[in-house]
Amino acid sequence: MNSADDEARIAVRDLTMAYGTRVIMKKMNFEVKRGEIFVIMGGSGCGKSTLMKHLIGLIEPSQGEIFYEGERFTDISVEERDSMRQSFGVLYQAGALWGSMTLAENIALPLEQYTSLSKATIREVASFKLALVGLNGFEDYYPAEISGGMRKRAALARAMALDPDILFFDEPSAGLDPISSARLDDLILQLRDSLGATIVMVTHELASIFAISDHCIYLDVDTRRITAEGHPKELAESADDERVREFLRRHATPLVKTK
Amino acid sequence: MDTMPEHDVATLVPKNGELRFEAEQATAVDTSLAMTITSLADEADDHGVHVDLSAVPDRIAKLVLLARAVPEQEAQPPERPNFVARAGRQAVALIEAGKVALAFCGETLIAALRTLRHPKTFRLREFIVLLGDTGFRALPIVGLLAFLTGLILAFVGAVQLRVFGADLYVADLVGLAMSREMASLMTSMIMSGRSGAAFAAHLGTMKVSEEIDALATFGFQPVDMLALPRVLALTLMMPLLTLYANLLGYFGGAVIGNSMLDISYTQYLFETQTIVTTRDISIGLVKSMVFGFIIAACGCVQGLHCGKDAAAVGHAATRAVVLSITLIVVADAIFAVLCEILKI
Repeated sequence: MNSADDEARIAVRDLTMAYGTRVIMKKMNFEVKRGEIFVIMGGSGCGKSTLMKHLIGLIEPSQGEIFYEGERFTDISVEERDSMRQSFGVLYQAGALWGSMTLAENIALPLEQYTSLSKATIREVASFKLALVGLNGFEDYYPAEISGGMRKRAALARAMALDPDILFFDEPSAGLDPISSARLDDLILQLRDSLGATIVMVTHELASIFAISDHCIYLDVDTRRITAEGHPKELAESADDERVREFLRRHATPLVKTK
Repeated sequence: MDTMPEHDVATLVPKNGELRFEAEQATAVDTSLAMTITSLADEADDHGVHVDLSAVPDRIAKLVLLARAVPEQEAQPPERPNFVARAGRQAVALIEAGKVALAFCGETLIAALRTLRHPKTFRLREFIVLLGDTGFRALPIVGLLAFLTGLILAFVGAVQLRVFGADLYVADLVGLAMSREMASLMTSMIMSGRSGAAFAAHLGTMKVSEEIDALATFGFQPVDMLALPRVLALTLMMPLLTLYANLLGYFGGAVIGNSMLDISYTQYLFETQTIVTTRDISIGLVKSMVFGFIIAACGCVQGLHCGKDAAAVGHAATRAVVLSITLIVVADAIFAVLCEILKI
């Protein structure tokens, strides 16, 4: 391991992802710097969400390694991984709030487990986190009783329960109307600036990629490799790969040439 | 044009010739024309024959162009193994399922020990809700079925025993059958359809909606959080439900005894008391605890190992019920042999 690894918050080395014998992505190498909003993009079915699950440690890579601040994350015991995960916050695609608990209980559960705060304090923390995402007053609602956008924000509040310094977002704006998704983008920017968190985001929502991302990688379905890396605006103008430029300009080469 | 005729372009058109389609006169055309032209044109291309579509209706020509413009996907066709391979895979899957079940028992034990060391992590309120779901709420249906079972046993017995004038022995029949076998079996059948399927569907849905992944990312063990309380709740509630089923079964028998055989309720109760021992009832209760564990374990295992779509949740629930009923009958047979060997 060289010293460059220590500066990166997340370092991925030669990562190959596969389901059984079906290879999803080969030999990926990238780094995420502290405080960066890092976007993983790519066409449908290219393995963006799978890559995120690898980064969180829900799936073991078939090859390669992942480091957090130079500390190895792959091929370690469950206990070590759990302790490293305490600095993670994850927002799943559909929120994945625990349906049998109220919003406040959803946020309280990790706090009860990992802190020695009193019940009353935990309740206050939960209310505060909900207020951060604009859901004050909804403490005692169940996830099924609120709208999809609210659920997503509540899930964000839960992801922030343990004051993580890395936040993972799986398609945060999927299924949200343009206004809600713009609001969510603002919220993500604010969180990054106020908490100093590193943010890793899987998305193919171009508007939010251009609005908030500092650095992005493009996963190509056909070659099964990362074909571009850099700032989205620069990539849109000067990426070597035509497909990346097409992706970022929302343009498809027509299959049939019209006369 | 209904079907695509078999054509060999090579015999029809010389190499480097031209294949011209004329369909201008056609009044009504549908997809089959486009399909035929596409397949002929593909073949013509292979033989180096030029294809001319200028005399084909514009709409059809565009469809043909589009169909031929899409590049061939290099995706491999999904594997469709033959019979022998399928049988082999099924056998391997069965062994794997056995391993998973065994691993689950171990994990539950470890989870129980871990929870004993850190009692704070046990979510009491959810456990109480589960106790209500698997116990109190099952009372009406368990009661009804146990009552009817007692009734049926007594009815069948009464018809036979009356021939020998041994009317009173119907109480013995119902009492022993309910205490040793029927109460625990009937209760476990109901609970496997009720709670076992519910556990599998609930945990399966949690898996599909990534709630279980969310637990794991917070460092919670799904077995500790979800499976342990369910297994405990059902293992605790089953003996109570079985005891209750016993009482209603005796009552069902007494109703038949009273109405068909003129045995008074007091007489019936007395006869039941003399013949049914604490040992008989205890055997039923011990069995019901084992059955309760089997039901909860099957439900939780199937739920936690569920696939990732709606159909998978249905399969998980089905498998949970089928597997638990099979295992319960096997376990009951083992109990019968053990009781015979131990003379109890």
